[in-house]
Order: sequence, then C-alpha cells, then structure tokens
Amino acid sequence: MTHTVATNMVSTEDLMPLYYAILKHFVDGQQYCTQDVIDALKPLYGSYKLLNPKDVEEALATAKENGLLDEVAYDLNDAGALRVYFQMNDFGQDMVDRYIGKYSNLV
Amino acid sequence: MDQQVAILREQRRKSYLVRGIAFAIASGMCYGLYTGTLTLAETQGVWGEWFAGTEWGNGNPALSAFVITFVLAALAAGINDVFSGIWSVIVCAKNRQLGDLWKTIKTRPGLIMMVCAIVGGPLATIAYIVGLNSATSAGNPGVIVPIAALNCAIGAILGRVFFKQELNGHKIVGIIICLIAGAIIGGTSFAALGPEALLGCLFAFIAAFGWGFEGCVAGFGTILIDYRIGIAIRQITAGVLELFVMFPLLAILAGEAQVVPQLAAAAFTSPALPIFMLSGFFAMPAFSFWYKGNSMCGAALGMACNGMYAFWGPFFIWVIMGLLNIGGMAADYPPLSAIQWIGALIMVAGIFCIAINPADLFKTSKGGA
Repeated sequence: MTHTVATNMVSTEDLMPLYYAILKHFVDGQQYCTQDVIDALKPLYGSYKLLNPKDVEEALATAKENGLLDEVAYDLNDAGALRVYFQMNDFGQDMVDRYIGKYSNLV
Repeated sequence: MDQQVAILREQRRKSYLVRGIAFAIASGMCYGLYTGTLTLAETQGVWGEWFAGTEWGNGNPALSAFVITFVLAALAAGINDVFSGIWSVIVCAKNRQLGDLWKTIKTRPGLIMMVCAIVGGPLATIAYIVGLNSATSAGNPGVIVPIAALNCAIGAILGRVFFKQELNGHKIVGIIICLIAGAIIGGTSFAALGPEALLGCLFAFIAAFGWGFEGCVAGFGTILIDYRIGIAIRQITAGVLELFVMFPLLAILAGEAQVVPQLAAAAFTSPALPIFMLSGFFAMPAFSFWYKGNSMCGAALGMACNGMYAFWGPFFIWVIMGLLNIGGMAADYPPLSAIQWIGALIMVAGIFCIAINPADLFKTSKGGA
C-alpha cells in the first residue's frame, strides 16, 4: 500500500459505503465472524451507527442468502452464543470484483 | 459442544426464514394499504372532479380521456413515489446513512438500481395506476390487483433465466397455486367486466412484467447495496422521473401541455395531498420489505409472500373505502365475498409450497418418528 494515512485523519467523506467495506473485507478469502468484521472496520467506520452486531450480522446473513458468502464454520463465544464464520466464494469474488472492485479506502 | 452448536444453528436458520417471510408478508400488507390509500386519495377533492370528467376547480373544462387515463396516472404515481422517497430518505437519515446514500448513487450498483427504478417506476407504476383507475371507473378496483400480482411468477421465472436461481418442482407448483388463488380473488367480480376493466387488466399485466423484472434484477442488485439505501434510490428516481418527465411528456403527447401547471398546482394544493403522503408512507415499506424479504428467503418465496397483496389490495380498499367509509362512498365498495377469503387461504397454501418442499417435511417427520 503506497497510501498510508493515519486513521484519525480519514474523514468519512473519503470512505466507501459501509456495506461495500463489509463485503470487501472478505476478498482476502479468509473466514470472519460478525465481531471480526466489526473490529476490523471500527478504526475507519467507528462513527457509523450501523456498525453494530445486529446490523452487521444481518448484512452478512443477507450476503450469504444471496450467494456471495458461505457459512464455513461455527463455534460458541465466551457467552455461549453461536458464532458463525463466513467466507467469500467464487461468485462473491466475481460480483465484488465486477461491480465494486475499483472502490477502496486507500488505507 | 458440537450438539449445542447444531441446536443453535437450527434455531438461527429457522428464525431467518421466519423473519424473511414476515418481512415479505408485511410488504404485501403495506402494498394493500398503499393501494387502498391511493385509491382513496384519487377520489378526494379535485381528483374526484377530474375522474368524473366534469368541469373542475373554478369552471375549468373537463379533461380529455387521454389526460384522465395517462397524465393523471403519472401525476398520482409521481406524487406518491416522491413522498415515499422522502420517507425513505428520512429512514436513511435516522440510520445516519445519508453520506453512504450519496456515495452509493455514484457507484455502479447505485446506477443499476436507478435503471431498475426506471423500469419499475415510470413504466410499471404508471401502468399500475392506469390499470387501477380504469378498473375503478368500471366499478371494480380490486380486479386488477391479482393480475399485477403475476409479477411474482414473472420475477421467479426471470430469476431462473437470468440468474440461474433455483426453481424446482414444488416451487413451480406453489407459484401456480398462487396464480390460481389470485385469479379467484380478482375473478369473483368479473361479471362487471367491461372494456374499461379489460384495459385495466392489460395495464396491470404491463405493471406485473415491469415489477417482475425489477424484482429479480434489483433484488439481485441490492446484494451489493444496503436495502434501505437501495429503496431510497429507487423511490426518488422513480418519483422524480414520473413527476418531472413522464407527467409533462404525456401531457405534451396528448397535445395539452397547458394542463401541466394547472394540474400540478391543483394537485399540490388539494386536500387529498396528505392522503398521498400516507400512501407514499405505505409504499416505502411495501418496497423495502419486499427487497429485504427477497434477500432473506430467496426471490421466489419473497415474491410469493409479497404477492399476497392480491388479497391485501382488495381487502384494504374495502376496509378504507367501504368499512370505514372514509371516502363517503361505502355503497360502491362492498365487503369481500367468501370466495375471496377462500382464495386468500389457497394463496397461503401456495406460499407454503414455495417455502417448504413437502417431500422434505415428510422425510423429517418420518425420521423423527
């Protein structure tokens, strides 16, 4: 990455929409649960009202239902609640690449 | 622990399906409320005079048939959709999504959403209101609603063709059952069928095709857009195009461009305006819950649950106009007949067929025994 910007200098003006950022978090092919996504996006999107467990979970489950993500693993968190891990499949990679591939936050 | 995970997974799967169906059904109910309040709005104040084909306002000449059929439909659709766009933007503002809304408009998925809105808005919504108005003047506003509900089947078929969405045997059976139920609900009053009602049915079918196309393409496009942002883009695009392009354009086509400022001024100062605000308010969840339901439980099931508005449409037209007698014309809007209630139950059975493969149900119960 050639553009390294301290996170506190990035205004939300320069960020891509939150939903794009959530999907693009998965393009590295790794598995993430809802809390992983929230933790990763918090530095940039911390001020977003919809960056909360309920709405991010809904976004991921919707992406899964639409075939972009697969549910690949499950475990229980410390509180004994179900934790679902998602991974982007080939179709998801293709859709993201084709429609929102060129947008980035340059950080 | 594995067992605990399995139990929680099953609970989660069920709640997601149930929530998806609930959203899709709520969308159909809002659709009925939107149709009912819009029908009411179009009987109030100056709208009543326009559709009656009499002099209106302070001695303005009666409108021509073309203006009544098409230009007023565009005006009504535009006012309704602009208001529902405003409501949708308020929802985005509440979620502090206005920045994302603006940014999304400038991206490719946002553009796809706007193209869908062109097909679903100016084309389908105006066709729907032309249909609704023709059927109303034929004395039977309920009749076209089930025809427009065909968009459920058209959407599922287009989804199969374009996006290779799953459409196996039990879903096809379910769609057919829904269509039959829609025909029963609407067909009960086909006795009153005249040329105007036929025209209404034709335009309702055009609306069905437009919405079917939109449902499968936009349902697909919203994969990449938050649905609240998607609906705001959709309603504003549709409303602006209907009000500022289609409404004047149709008047010019009619050779009566001079009516544009007159009608606009009269409509926006009419006491019917708050009722349009209300119909716009119901149109907002009608569409956004539809998108949400589709993406939670798949397009075929989502659209079938939404298609229950084949029942909710006539039902709320009756509740608002007949039962509550809000328009003061209760006699023209009799209660639903027993056969319409039966049709609704059949439709629920059809939706059940699309949702759950009866063969799976049988397997599970055998396995559990």
